[in-house]
Amino acid sequence: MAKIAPDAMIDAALDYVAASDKMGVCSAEPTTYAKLTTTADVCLALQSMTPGSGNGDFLKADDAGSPYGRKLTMTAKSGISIVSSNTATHVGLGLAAGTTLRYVTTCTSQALTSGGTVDVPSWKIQIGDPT
Amino acid sequence: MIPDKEKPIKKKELTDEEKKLEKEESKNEEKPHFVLEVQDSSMGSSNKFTKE
Repeated sequence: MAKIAPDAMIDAALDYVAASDKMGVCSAEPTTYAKLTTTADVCLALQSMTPGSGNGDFLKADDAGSPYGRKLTMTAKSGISIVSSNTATHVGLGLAAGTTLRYVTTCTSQALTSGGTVDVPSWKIQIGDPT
Repeated sequence: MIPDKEKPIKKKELTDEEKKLEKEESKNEEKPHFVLEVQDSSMGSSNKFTKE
């Protein structure tokens, strides 16, 4: 007997992330929306995102790689203004309406300098099918 | 007669537009630029829960 997680079930989780309209580059793990977006806190650079899969910044699709399932890809963003100097360690997504933190991932430690710009390459979240 | 290679080269005068572009380019060169390496995430791939 097989275990099944319909795409719609996994997509509901990915849609929650894809509803984000802000992406923050942070110097520590942002545990709240305020931390993700406040430069006086851990936020070093902030980028607006167009919410919704297929609208330009987020795209859901089947994941062809094991363990299969579904994936959400975030479009690369370049030339984001750095507003605070520190070492970037995390990238997070959040939604301004309701000020909710939607997802946080890590990045290779990179010292950033205020006044400069930073590129965030395309990245993805994968949710595998049940095994 | 002065040979061609010895003639002084007259520097071309820049137009206002060219001066503006040159200024913007030098300003951009001063800005530090960085590229992050973001780690992808994978969920639901481990059999964390086992029947007791």
